[in-house]
Amino acid sequence: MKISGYFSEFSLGEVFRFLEQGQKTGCLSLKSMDESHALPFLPAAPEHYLFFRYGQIVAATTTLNHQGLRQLIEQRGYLHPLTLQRVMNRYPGNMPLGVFLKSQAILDSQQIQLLFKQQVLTPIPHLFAWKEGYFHFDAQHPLPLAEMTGLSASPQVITLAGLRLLRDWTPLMDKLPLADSTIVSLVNEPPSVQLGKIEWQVWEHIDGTTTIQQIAQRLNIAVLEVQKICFRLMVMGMVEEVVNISSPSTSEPAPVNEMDTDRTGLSSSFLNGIVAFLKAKTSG
Amino acid sequence: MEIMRIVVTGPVGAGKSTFIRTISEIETVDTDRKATDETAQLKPSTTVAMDFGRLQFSPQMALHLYGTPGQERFDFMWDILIRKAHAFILLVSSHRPQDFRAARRISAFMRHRSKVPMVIGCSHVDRPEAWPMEEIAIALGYLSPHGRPPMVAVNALERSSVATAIITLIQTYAESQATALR
Repeated sequence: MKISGYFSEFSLGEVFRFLEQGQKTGCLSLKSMDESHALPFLPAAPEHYLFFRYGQIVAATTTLNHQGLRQLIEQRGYLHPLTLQRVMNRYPGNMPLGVFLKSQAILDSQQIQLLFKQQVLTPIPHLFAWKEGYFHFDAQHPLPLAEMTGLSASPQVITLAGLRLLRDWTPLMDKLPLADSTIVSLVNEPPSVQLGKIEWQVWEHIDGTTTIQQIAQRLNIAVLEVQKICFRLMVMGMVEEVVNISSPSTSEPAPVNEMDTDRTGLSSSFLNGIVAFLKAKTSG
Repeated sequence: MEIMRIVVTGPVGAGKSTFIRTISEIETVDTDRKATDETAQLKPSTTVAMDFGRLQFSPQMALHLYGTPGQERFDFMWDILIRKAHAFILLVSSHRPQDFRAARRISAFMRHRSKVPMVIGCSHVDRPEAWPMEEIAIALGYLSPHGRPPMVAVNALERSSVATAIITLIQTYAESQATALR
């Protein structure tokens, strides 16, 4: 399965949405093409590897040597390296390392959560600051159990955090919804993620008929700000953009039944005739 | 005269004009002009109004094919095309993930303005960097196979491939008509 591309083509938020909605399992490799890719909170490394299980992020590493979580445990001083070595000799390798350490009462839940925070929750949102990057998803890559805490994070939540942190939106400007587009909700229930105050106000104005420009006017905030919030909601899979026709006379979306009036049904003899005619072309 | 009108839509460079030209029995009405803006980086000319092609298979029966303008501006021309169309095919280049956003936008636009049946035609499926069709469906927002439009691989340069895609669309239309009657 070939799933690869550049962030300038398919942004990281869109990649995350794809992997979460497709409930993918495998390894997402990310390589910065950005000269200034050294960012605070992000380990300096040529490549980052994110591991997905049924669409959820279960681990993040910068190498494929299965040593990342062990190093974090050592860095945090949870275990002496020699003790950890002895523990690892008993690790059967058939379950996430974090689950094993917890089951042996070597680490507690809070320590595991802090490890996951340091491994995934804190650094990954900073990947959204990359101006350009190459991604490749390998669905055949086995999950590295020795890198896994047993916890998982929703890409949706990481995306929201990453896009909130983002200061330079230049690489995403061509991906934002248009100012005169209507935003339509794709979910029936209120968002399960915690929205900020302005995000929530924008969300409340999304009714399938109000344009981004109108929302900005009503909330008295910049159109670009609403575009950014709507983009966040779009890549989280909560809403979709419906572009309006740019002619002034038809700027209001006409109901479907009105628009269908110019069209009449086709007879079965017509349909049979055209299919037979085309079938002859497929063999001819 | 009984006429079926099919709209061929999709992002710039998906092969809409080629698709119509390959199957049409008449010389297609060429409205290609020198491309401006970012389209120019992709191809020197693009369809500014619409392509038109025709298949006359009996004295009183014809299939008309309309290609949407290449540049992504949803103007009055789209409105006219949607009002008239019996069905539409959305062409997507399988190897250009940067086009999936535009394809998704077009798909949402069509779905919200019209209830006519559609088929997704994936072009360039033989390219090494092509995404599988199942993954393209997810990228376009069709998460479950249930309720997803039929997807077909299309080579816009091959008449038999284009004909097969149109047959799939006509069969989808026939099924939707039968469902509406029930």
